Amino acid sequence: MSFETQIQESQRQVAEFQARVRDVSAAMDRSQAAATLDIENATLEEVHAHSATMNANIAELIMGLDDVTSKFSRDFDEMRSKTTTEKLIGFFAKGKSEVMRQERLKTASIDDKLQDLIGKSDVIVKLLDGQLAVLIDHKGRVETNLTETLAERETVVAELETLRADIQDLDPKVIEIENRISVEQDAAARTRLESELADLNKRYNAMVQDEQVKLAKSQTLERYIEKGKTWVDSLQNQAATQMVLINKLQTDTKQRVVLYDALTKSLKTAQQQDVAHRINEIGVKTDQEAQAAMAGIGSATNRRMAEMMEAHEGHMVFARKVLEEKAKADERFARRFAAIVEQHDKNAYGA
Amino acid sequence: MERIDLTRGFAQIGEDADLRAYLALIASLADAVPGAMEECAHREDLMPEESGELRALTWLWVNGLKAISLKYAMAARSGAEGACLTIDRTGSGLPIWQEVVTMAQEAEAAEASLAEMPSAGEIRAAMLRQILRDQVSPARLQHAMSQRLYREALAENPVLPPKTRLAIQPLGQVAARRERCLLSWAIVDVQSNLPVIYLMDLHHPAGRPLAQEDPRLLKIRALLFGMSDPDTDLALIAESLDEAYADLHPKQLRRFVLGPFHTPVFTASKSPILEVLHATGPSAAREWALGIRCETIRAARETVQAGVFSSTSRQVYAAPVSRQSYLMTPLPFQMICDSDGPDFTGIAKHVVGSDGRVTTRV
Repeated sequence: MSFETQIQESQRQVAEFQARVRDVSAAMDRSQAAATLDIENATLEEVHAHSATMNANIAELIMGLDDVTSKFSRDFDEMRSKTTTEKLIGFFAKGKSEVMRQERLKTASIDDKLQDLIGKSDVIVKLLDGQLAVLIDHKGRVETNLTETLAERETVVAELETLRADIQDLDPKVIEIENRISVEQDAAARTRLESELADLNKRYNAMVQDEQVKLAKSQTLERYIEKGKTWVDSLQNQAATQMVLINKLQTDTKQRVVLYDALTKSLKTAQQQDVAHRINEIGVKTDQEAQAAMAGIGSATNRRMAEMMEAHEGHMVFARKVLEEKAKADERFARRFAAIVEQHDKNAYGA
Repeated sequence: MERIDLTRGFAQIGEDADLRAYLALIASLADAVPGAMEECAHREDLMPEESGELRALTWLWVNGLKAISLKYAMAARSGAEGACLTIDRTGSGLPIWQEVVTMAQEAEAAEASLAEMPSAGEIRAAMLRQILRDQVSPARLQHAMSQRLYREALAENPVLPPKTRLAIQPLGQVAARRERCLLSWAIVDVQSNLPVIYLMDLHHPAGRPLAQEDPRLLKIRALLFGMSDPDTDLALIAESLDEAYADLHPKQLRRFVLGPFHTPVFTASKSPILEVLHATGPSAAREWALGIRCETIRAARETVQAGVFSSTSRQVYAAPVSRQSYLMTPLPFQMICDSDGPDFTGIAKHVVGSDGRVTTRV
């Protein structure tokens, strides 16, 4: 599948996912939830399953950038090695062959490929960003609804408690009237007491019925709150996943751009082939690490991704601290690593 | 071997206060750069055609700085993820190369993006609704508006791409059978993130000018751009072209490197100019300086190598002349004058006046 088709497929999945999120959030809306509470667990699970597929697809897309990067290694190979003509000439004159290779390298440029890499990475980031914005928006809305519902449930619970206290207050009155009826001799007074008792019983029954209604309402709200909380958690999880993917992709692309360019410039200035070869190995190793990390994303659970994000942030803080302390030394090392590798080789081989 | 991370000096500016402070510095830099480059053109005694090209290419960079201020104006407050500006703290003090590439790509798609976006009037109406009816901060809509204005700026004023085209301007006859032209191009270097402008005075046989449709141009372009990073020896670039074509004679090559951009808050490197900036005390956060390097190499003479069937002329280049100067705010300039230190004697100081005009003192 080409990158473009893959992007389209992912865009379609993202759109579908967002529609599902909208559906669930709409069902979560207070006004509708009061009537019917139809967010079944199955619906939530369906959304989860769908988001898993979608994220796997996006992770694949990120890994698909490897096709772009593999074009770079082909370029590096060409820069490092000699062409057939150069080899042929090298058979007669080693120096001349090296001069030819260096002449060829003068015109070598990977800028266009780097721009392509950045462009493709930006497309994926935009896709993820849009997705993240939707998730955060829905999370916010559901949370607002939840706050309102929590307040409402509190009111209902308070009313329920008052009602129960009132019902308890009625009990002694009923007992008292019943006692008075049992000792009353006068028929008229007795009738009056009995109708009073009937009224009291009517009131008692009405209150008990009201208690049942309030109890049911409180339970409904409670269930709704529980579902809402689960949904918020789920949206939160999704958002975290998006952030990890965005972060990973951006970091990788930034690293690759500078590294590949540094590698090209080093290859251009490197005098000896084996120096060039060793510099190239640094790049290969870095990319292998990047690839391994990215493969991890595809299969990782949300939990693992969250861990990764924490680890990554920890690393960033650490890196910045180091930077503040010995900024100049680091900068020199990084910026001129070609010169240092060369120097290192000179020392190591006593040349 | 320990893993090498070349992006360690990069920093994402995500906090609103930081981002605003940085964009304000960038905006004040953008306002002053054209004036400073006019001063440089004057000092280097450029031909009118050279000045024109230098001005045009400088403006592309300035347009980019202005556009990036719009792009990130509301980024931190809108809460949009992945929308932080990345700058190179230890190197250029400027947005990284990737930002330049993304902006160039967004400039290409500017018209199409504008067509998809809601109009400024629609966004304003929605903002009013949010403020008056919903009574919430319209940060998201403000971000949408900044994105709209950013795209409009891109559509209106071209920005400096990572690589410009190779412009050719005929300059007329120099001798009976020779004509000259001005080649100009610019790049933004991937490693240093600095804009680098080149001007080449090229002689060629009369009646055979170098045109855009010239089949040789593809290779010439590859050769020149392949060596355009700011540390390549100027003589090497000129010699490579001189040797590659028998009838093309690079007589003079100039290079202008704009940057690094020194700011006490956002630059982490050590340099004399940064120490001066730090010493400005309470107002240090608003002070800045931009290094400007002008280099020139000229052919001192031409030698003719006689061959069996024809003769080829080769240029012999004199030693390159390199002049460093600084564009800066008034206060650090005052500090330099007061301290009378040896670090800045003989270095031109282009100072931004309170009226925004740039004056040069040596």
